[in-house]
Amino acid sequence: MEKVQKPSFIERFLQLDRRIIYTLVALAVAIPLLFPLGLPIKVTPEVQSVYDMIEDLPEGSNILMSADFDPASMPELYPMMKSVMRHIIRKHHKLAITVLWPNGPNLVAQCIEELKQEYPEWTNTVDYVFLGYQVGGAIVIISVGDSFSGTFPKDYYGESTDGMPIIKEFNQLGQADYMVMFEAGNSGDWWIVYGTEVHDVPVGGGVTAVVAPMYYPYLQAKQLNGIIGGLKGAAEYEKLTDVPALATSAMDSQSMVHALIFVAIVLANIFALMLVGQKRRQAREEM
Amino acid sequence: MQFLRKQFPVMLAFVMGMAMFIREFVPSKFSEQLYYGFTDWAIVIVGFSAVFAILSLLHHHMNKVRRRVEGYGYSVITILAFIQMIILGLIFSVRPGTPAGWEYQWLFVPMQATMFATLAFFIASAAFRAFRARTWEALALLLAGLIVMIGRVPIGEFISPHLSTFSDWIMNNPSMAGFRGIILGVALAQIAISVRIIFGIERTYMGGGD
Amino acid sequence: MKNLIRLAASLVVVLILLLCSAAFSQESDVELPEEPAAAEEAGPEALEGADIIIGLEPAAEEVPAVEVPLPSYVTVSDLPNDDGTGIVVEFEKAEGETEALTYTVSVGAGPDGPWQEVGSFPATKKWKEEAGHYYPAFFWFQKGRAGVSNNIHLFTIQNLSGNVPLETGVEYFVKLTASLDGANRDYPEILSATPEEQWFDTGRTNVLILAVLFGATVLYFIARARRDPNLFIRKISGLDAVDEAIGRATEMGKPILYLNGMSSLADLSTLAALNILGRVARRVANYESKLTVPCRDPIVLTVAQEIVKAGYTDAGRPDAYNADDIFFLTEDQFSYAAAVCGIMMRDKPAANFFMGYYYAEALILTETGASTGAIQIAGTDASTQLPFFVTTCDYTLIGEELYAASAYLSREPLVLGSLKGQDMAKVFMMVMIIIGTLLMTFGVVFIKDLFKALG
Repeated sequence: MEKVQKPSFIERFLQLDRRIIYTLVALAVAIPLLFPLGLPIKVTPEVQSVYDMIEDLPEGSNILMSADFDPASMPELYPMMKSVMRHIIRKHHKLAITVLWPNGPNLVAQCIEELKQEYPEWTNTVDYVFLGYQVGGAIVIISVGDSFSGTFPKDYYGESTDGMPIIKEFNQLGQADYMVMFEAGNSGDWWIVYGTEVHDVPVGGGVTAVVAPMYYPYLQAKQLNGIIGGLKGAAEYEKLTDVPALATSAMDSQSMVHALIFVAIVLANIFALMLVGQKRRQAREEM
Repeated sequence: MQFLRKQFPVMLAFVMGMAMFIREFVPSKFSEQLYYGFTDWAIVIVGFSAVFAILSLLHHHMNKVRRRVEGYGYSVITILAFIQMIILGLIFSVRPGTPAGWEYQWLFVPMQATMFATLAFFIASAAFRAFRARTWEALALLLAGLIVMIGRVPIGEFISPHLSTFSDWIMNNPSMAGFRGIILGVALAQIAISVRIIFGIERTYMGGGD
Repeated sequence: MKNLIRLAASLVVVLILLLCSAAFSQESDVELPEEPAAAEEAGPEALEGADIIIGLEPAAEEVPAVEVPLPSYVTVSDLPNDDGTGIVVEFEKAEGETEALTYTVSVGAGPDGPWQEVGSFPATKKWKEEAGHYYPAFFWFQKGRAGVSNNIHLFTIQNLSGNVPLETGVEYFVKLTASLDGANRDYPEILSATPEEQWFDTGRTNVLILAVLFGATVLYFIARARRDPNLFIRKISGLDAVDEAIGRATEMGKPILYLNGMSSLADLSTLAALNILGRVARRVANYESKLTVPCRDPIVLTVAQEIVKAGYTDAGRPDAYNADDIFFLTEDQFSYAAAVCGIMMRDKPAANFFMGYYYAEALILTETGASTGAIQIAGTDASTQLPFFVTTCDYTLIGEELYAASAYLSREPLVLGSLKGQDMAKVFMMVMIIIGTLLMTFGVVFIKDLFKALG
């Protein structure tokens, strides 16, 4: 009877139980949150472009914001949305906010409430209008090319949008001087194809890291003027607006998880190579 | 009946497809009205489609409960959650501060965030198992992946400022070239499938076979 | 071969036409005079199509305390390529224009007002070269020419104050005012224009030519396939695995899970996924296995039910069809992912199909599927999710393979013909990319304008 060989350390490592990997990831996230490392954050040109655009617009310019995400992407997109909104308020721009995802409006409402505590003078229907959610996706984008008040007869709070002071001056996508969209999926594609390109509105995007590569071709083609990508982008925007918050504090965790995966992949490859060598040696010895 | 199931949808697809194509090149008022008119229709139709969804969901889960299939308890929870959310939403609305708003903030948001967060664990485990340099091409991909992964977070900047520059170069050049190739191919394929649908060559989507 | 040559020849002819038209545009290009006096002479010819062109006589103006520069000429004309609700003001960069200078445009019903201010912008903004969709030129290649420096301001008027749109056929009068350090200076003439609607958007001529050309190529190859149905199509290995996966599920007595993606029916990748579902349903019916299709979109649900029903009927087993196996889960992305993962863990399907468009949930779905030991076949044009599918699935249809799949599975000559047409268009694009790269490398930039899509 053949003796069953005990798997070597290399083999055991390569077949590591996924639960061990999960535990290591959890530790890599949690430890830096408890004991921050304070790694430096460098602002990338694509984030700087979004900031500069909002900064350079004359006071009182019209900005459209679309928050197309839901609680799942909140950890990444909420901090950047808050930073950008804070910047818009500081520059006294007019802001209209739409949502294309049904579970997104409450997140925007929460963000507005938090910012209103910082800036009590920021007035609904005059400085901003929160248009809420409308069903239809790309169709809604086409429709706001015609009018906001037609597409969203009532705002999120149930008020008629028709007579609002802000809507009198800012009632169409084409009247926006700039647009910022926060995207967890491909609604950003629709905004570019059916909205901003048609109406010649410059647009910048805040996107989750997982969909960011999808938006980079637009940046090169100048169809997007800038991209705030993932939690790192959010941390960069927080640095620019000088209000370090959630994203900045999460940067160390993200770095640690990336480093962990880096080391795991490198080790797995080295061990896999060693295993191949070991098996070749064994085969030679058996011959 | 056969006409309504087979020929009429094809005719409708042809007329509407051609009308929308021509409209792209006609900037007149009539064309604009037609376009925005259709978008209004579409919003209404999409709104009504929610009824199908609700009926299907309830039917599916009620069947499970009726037949007492394994795990039917989950179906009971689904039905109850569905009904109570509708009732609370209708009575108090769904804004923050209302009971439905409370459920949203303290149940829905954490559950969603949890689902999204599992991605970090799955990425780590999938990368560990599958990211192996078995060929030279795979080795090139592996190296590029490692550089981008480390170069796009502050720790990369901390190790060397060149890492992030190189990572950006990889994203903006070789990676972008690959993406563009896929996007162009997909766009052409989409035009071809549109032509097939408009001219009634592709009809599987109507559910009637070929 | 003969047809290939014919097609290549026709592509060359179109290319030559495009190049000629660009050359024509270069000849008729607007040469703007540098001196104001020369502008007065050259203006009318140079600004063909403008309703009014007026030269400036600075000497006749009263000299204000601060010297406010004014442009040498201003034109007001109908906004081209629109629905008759806009006019456009154009003027040359004024001599001595600085960042502090502001231009204000006012509109009135008559030459004497009353005036409504419709826009104000700094002299560093609103350049003709940067204007996109409504750029007032006859053909797309005359617009926003690459490499042209900013020297003409352009301001579009589509609304009066209070968002009142301009009316078609009504004459509007325009006054231009320049302001510097508190001093204002009006352009000496009041100009007017009447908005008119157009029935063809000349700015999209290139799009029309290419769309018709491509559509015709696809139709030509479909017609050719009707005559000669023996078309060659490259093997798509992922699709050969479809039968294997269904067979394995049948042997194991386990169900097959099929997802149509996360998008709606408006997305063509969902249609492609539904096309493949039709073929899969037929084979599943033949093998007498069980097919589960959880849906995220209610309209996709109804179509999927019809398709599976038709598949079972075609296979001669309409009795085996159960509408309850194709059901709606939820429209919410991660709730859907959680529910599908639950199905995978409870039912342990032997084969999972992920067709259509996916977002961040892709890895959650496929990694869970992989942990249950199922054969996994994916097909998606979601380029950002492709790495995850390739890593965790046994076979992945990449990008356009998803669209080719239904043609491959059906082996229907007409559908296969369209694939050939698609390939020809790809050849055309590859040739244009190579030519374009070479020309741009050597500083010939007009090719960029030929393919510029405006609006």
